[in-house]
Amino acid sequence: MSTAAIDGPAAQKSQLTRSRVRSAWLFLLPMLIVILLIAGWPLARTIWFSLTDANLSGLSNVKFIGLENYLSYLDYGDGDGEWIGVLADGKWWTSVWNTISFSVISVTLETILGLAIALVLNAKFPGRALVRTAMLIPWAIPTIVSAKMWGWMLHDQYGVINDMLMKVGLLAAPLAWTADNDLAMTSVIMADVWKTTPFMALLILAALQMLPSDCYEAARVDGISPIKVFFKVTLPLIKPALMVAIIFRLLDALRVFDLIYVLTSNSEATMSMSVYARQQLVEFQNVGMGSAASTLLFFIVALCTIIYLVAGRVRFDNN
Amino acid sequence: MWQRRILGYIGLYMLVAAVVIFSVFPFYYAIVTSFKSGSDLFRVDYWPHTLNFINYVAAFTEQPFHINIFNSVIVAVAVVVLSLFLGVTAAYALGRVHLWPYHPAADHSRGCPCFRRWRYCPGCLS
Repeated sequence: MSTAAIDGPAAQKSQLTRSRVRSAWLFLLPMLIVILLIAGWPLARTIWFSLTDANLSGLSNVKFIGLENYLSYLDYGDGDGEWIGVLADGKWWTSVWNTISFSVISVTLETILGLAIALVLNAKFPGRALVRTAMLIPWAIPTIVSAKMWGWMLHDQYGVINDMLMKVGLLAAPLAWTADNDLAMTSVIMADVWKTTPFMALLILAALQMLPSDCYEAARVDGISPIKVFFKVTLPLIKPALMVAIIFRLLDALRVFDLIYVLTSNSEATMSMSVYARQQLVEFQNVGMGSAASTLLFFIVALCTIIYLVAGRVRFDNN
Repeated sequence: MWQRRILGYIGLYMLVAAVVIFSVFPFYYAIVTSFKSGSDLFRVDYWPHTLNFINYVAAFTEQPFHINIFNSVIVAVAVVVLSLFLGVTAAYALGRVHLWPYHPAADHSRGCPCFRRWRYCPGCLS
């Protein structure tokens, strides 16, 4: 099939092309229907519930209340009143801040560590395949299991992390890693970095493997130092793949739930937006507020993606 | 010259060892802990002292772990079959006919022909 037949002007489109397009839509139909059912419908339902007074005990007769779940002024009638709704909740803003700082710090650390690991594993040495497999272990373990593992390792009395740090003399007394409000976020980031660095390393390694060798030969002939080669050759060449890897991880980190929920439960020090939404929806049975929080989470993730694309100067133009 | 090479090898293998320890240690520690029972659990050990399989037996006798494995297999098979079917049909349609906006089979050699010339188009990355 020539390209003219694919995207030529409409006037030139033959009968064959039209039937091809028709059958293409037929082939696309199953996927479109499934996506509509498993992604479109729940999303629309959540946005709808966020505009109602839905409660977990009675989802059948809900009342439309506009944007009251987001923000509304509750008038006491005596000239006094207060703002209510998700946007007026200090805990929501804490969870937004927690989520964003968690995402930025852990994705930064994962990128640097992943890059370092990918560079090491890109070198040729015997046993490389084995080391690459070992590197993937953290990523292969389910998040719930690795969160439980880290919860045990970070245990304040019986944890191996405290034991190790005390043995090498970095700590005088054991720390309550997950219970201490100042340390809880560090613990969560530690577990997340351990768990998802292999993902970054794998994507970066795949990019490194595809680099052309002639740039490196030219650099060697010119006697350029390895550090300069890394910053002037390697980094610009893998930048597109790196940007994609970072945005995958960023989108994943912004909706973090299981790791934080297993490690620190509903603690306000580490509460993420998803944990907040779950608490509103399941514990407080307030489906309206929970859906409003979920909808806001959706928009905040979209906003972060746009900021990243603009700030990272991801150009949509090839020139 | 050869001293530098040997130093380079030592450095590389130290880095490799660091990567392996970083990745494997928590999993290794979970395995070591899995062989312990009773009050031994509350003592930090870096090496397995006894090989006690009681926890592995308990997973099957006290919990229906065989059913859990069976459930996982059913889910895995069903998900692979269903998503392959949906993905293959959709990919065939998108690959053979230029609908919108991204056309995997398009010629990427002279820049991206995709919708708005997206720089990070999956077809252009490879």
